Amino acid sequence: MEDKLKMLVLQIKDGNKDAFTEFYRLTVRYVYSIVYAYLLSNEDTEDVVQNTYFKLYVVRKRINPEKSILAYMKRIAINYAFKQMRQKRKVITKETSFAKDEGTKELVQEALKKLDEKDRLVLVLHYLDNTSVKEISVLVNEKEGSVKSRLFRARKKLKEVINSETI
Amino acid sequence: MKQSDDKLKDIFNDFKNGLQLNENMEGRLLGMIEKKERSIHKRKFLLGLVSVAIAAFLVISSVAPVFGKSGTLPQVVAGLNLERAANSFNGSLSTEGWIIEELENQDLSPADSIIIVALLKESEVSVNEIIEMRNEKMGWGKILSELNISVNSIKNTLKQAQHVADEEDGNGEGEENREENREENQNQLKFVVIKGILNNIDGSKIIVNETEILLTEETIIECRGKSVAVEDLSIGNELLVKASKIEDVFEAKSILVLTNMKENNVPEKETKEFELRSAIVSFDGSILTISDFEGGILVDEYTKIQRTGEGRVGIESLEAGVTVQIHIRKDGDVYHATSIVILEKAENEEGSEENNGANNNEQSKPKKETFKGEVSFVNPDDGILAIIGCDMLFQISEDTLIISNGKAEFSDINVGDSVEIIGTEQEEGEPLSVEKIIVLKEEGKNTDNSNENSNSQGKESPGKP
Repeated sequence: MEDKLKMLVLQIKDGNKDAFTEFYRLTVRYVYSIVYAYLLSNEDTEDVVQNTYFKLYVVRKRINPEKSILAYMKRIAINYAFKQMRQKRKVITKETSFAKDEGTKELVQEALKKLDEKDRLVLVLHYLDNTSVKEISVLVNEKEGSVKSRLFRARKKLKEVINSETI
Repeated sequence: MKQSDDKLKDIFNDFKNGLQLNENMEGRLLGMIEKKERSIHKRKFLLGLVSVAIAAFLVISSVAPVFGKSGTLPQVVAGLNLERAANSFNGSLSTEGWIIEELENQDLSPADSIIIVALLKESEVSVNEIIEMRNEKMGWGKILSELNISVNSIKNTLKQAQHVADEEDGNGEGEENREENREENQNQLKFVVIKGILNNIDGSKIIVNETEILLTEETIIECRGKSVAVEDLSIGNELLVKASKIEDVFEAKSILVLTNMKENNVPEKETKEFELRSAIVSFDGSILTISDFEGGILVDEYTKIQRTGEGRVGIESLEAGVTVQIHIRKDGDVYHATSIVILEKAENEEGSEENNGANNNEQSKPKKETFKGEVSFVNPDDGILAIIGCDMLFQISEDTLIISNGKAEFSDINVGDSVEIIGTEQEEGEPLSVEKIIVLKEEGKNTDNSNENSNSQGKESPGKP
């Protein structure tokens, strides 16, 4: 997968629009899931994802193909998501709550809503993207210790919610 | 712990797979990109166009006079450079007296005067030719190019003059140089243009830079077109002094204050300035009335009165009927004449200048006479007019200036009108050629009636109204 993306990045650098479309199709679900798990709003997530890919296209000539493009995308997406969250603090209250018999997506979403914004992001990055604590600390600009305690607190809370919902 | 983590990962994985992505997102993104690319192309195209236009303009302007009378781009740049050098010039330049007088009569900027004096030192060109070109709004770069003189040579002249002034400011060697210059220039130096800072005022003496300059009654001091008194000058003012040099004594002819003076020196009322060329209707010693202007114009000791070719003259020269070029400034509600140039006599004298050296011819020149009286006969077809009590006929031509509350036509003159006629005597039997008629309709009728007896022959002393 990484090799394929690397090859596409080289083509995107040369201005190949088809390669960009292919790259988008391969990676959009990944970017979308991270952003959505944090913002919990389809509308805002779409804006952030769109801006992230647009930014990538604008700066395509400066991309270093030797470095992980997904990490780069994640960085851009999180920055835009932070910005979006600052602008719209209403995201969580806007969403409707779900009944006990809803699917996994709704269940997780309901549980995530009950977490602190930063805790949620830390949890999502760790469990959804397998991002290491060290990398998360860089992304959210916090010490590793803080990230670990956020992770612990969020995990505990999530489990409580999920258990209470599922049992 | 591990199990619980794996369970969470599974849950999140299901969460990720359960997300429904909006299919329109891709289309919207590609649309955004396309729009961006279009705007980039457009910007690049416009930038290219502007660059090409600038390059083309630079190329064309370096060979063609695209700046009109200022010439080509290099000429404009050279001209601006030269003007900057002249503006920053601080020293003295010598020239001849008549050149100073010529410059005085022109409405030139200080920089222009300095450049002209420097230019005359460098070449044999005529000062009038330069002034004429400058008055035609030609740039200095173009003027120098037409005269085939390099800008650098003028700049060097200015530099040298400034260098001499700087050395004179110092001691030791400067003193020696000054002595040398004095000896060297003793016979040539007649007039100088000095630009510098006023360092001292002592009665009728001022010191500009290090040069002591005497002020006389004839010294004209002006600031922004307004006459100012010596008392209004302050130490530190930047001045442009045009002075004559007799032996080692500088005598100021005119002083132009270049720095803005204090508000209390020159009152900052709402002012409006304009210039008119017209004939004097009346002058009572302080209020002047001219034909093309409603209301009186104040003439006072600050009014500069000149007659072309003669220089400054007194207020007694402001006679009714005389054509003048008058510079009027509106100070609040008062119209103030800042300068008056009497043109009429000069026109007549032009002829006399041409005949200069042949005084005998003066006797054969036709005499100008003034007649006053009531019109007895008018024939507009032949342009003939007669007045009561005078057996002479008057010939009106296209050149005749007719004044009746402003400029009027011959057809405006009727039998019974009181008129004052200024004309030139012709050969015996020929009608007198009329130069000017002033119709004194309303006021004139009464006054003329009273004067009728005294002017029983309708003829006054020649040359006087």
